[in-house]
Amino acid sequence: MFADLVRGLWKENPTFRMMIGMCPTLAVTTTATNGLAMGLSVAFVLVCSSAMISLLRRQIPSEVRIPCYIVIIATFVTVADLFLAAFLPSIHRVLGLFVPLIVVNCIILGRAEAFASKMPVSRSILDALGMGLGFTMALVILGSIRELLGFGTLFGTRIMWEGFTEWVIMILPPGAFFTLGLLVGLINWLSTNLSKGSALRLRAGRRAKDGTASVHIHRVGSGQ
Amino acid sequence: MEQLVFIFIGSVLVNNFVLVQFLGICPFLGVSKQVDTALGMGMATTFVMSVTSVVTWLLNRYILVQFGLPFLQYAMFILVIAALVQFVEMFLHKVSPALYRSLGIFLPLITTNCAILGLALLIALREYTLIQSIVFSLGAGLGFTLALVIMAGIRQELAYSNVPKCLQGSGIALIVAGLLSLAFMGFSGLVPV
Amino acid sequence: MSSGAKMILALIIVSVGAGVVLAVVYNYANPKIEEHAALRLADSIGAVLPEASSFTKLESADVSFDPSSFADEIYLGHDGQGESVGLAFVVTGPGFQGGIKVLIGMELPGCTIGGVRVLEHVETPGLGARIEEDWFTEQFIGKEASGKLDKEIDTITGATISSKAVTNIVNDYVYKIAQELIPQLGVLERGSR
Repeated sequence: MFADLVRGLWKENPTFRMMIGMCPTLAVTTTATNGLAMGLSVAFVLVCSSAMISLLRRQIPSEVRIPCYIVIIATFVTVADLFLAAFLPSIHRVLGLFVPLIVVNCIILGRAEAFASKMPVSRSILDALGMGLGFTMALVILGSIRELLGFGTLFGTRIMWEGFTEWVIMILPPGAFFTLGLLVGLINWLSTNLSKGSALRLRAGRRAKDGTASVHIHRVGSGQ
Repeated sequence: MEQLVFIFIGSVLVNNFVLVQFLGICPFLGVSKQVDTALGMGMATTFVMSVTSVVTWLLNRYILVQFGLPFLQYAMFILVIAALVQFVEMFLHKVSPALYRSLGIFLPLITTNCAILGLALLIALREYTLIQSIVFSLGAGLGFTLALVIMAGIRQELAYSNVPKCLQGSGIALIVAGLLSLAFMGFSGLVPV
Repeated sequence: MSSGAKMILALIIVSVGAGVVLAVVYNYANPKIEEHAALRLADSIGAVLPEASSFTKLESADVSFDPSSFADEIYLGHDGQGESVGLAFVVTGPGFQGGIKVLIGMELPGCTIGGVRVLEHVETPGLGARIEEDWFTEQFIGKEASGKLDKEIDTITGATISSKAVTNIVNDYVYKIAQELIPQLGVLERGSR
């Protein structure tokens, strides 16, 4: 059960590992706050749609499931959009076009197909929550980096020192691509080396046990 | 007329859907490994875009606005897009089975391409006329195809280079995209938008 | 129930359910959305026409000319006694990266600029986006509709094109409205209000 929640945070993180839902990831992460807002909106739609789809999974005939899922997802997106426009108008203005685009965010339809349509409601909600939080986390990290280097602030508060010249490029489209690309590379490198480290320790342990002196030159598992 | 030219050039170069507006990134990263697949995907997308722009424009004007149902816009647009993609699939299957096969899984994926929905929404937002919408969508499709093909060309060459392990695949693709986006920034101010 | 009927029934139920939910949420949220928009507008007009305590929108039904031929929106500002103090108009012009939407306040009867506010733009953050800054827009206050504002307004370092764009927009529209609309407005004054 807990595994359902944690999966979306690291191992199957939608942004860094599965590379889906890229459009809002690049577009709205100009500041950490925007990234947070978008991430939470997606999480909201994800949890609600997964719950609803899981609830109705036995009722909806398989042939028409995709149109039904789409209608359900679009409804929740419209609700989120109206909610933001009514209560958080400044955030709504910044997120702009990308709130309705949550409808075609592959994460949501993907999870509905792969998980919510087959699993009970409680598991679907946990899975959706994990994915949503993983996505939010990725967006906040990306947004923080871009905001810090591009504006010198973090969540609106000035962090960088006085003489710091802002890297305006970070706020512009190229900055988004570069930052995400390097982050993906970093995460790949981390996960390769983390698994390498643990495998090396395992190998050393085994050698000590059988007492052989031979040296193992062995390339440990490649990640990507 | 001048206005139409500006809209066209604007959507192809100045406000390129992929490299400036971040629409259509998923297929951009996914389908840009070979030039011919990229070209096929781009053209299929352009076709869907043009038809979508007309249908959603009519839908918006004569039903949604007429009857005061703005809150149904997102649901209706995406359903129209899903239906249109189905038709295009069937159409291609009959007319050009070779192209249909080479595009494979990517064809139904055009439905979730945010560029298509984004296009429909932008047209409604900017309140373009029907002609302007068609020109805009052709430009958008062309810009999308352009970005995809350039990317595919680069990635084909990149396959022979020494890319660090951790950056292989998506990492380096994103960095190349960043460089392309940087280059496209040069088009700013080309036409009064 | 046959599988075909079951499919259609499922689709209908889901669609109707969705429609109902959306209609309810929309009815609840829309008043708040309109309230926000009205507040923003009042706030902006108050900023560019300091003497106006209330305003009315000019519709083509109320006047002898077509307001949309001059600006996107035109508002007539009144002071506490109901006297007209000025006009506020929303206009859009080309900027560096895209369109710039500007609200201009023009005080009557002298046709001097009461204030300028940049409402929407997509200029480069940190550079062109500085057109929002007060010191830049405050330069316009008190200027006359001479048609030569470009000689009187300082541009922003590193944002020449964006700041020139705003200057041109203000210059052109203020001149045009002073020359062509104000004389026609006299008819409005004598009529009612």
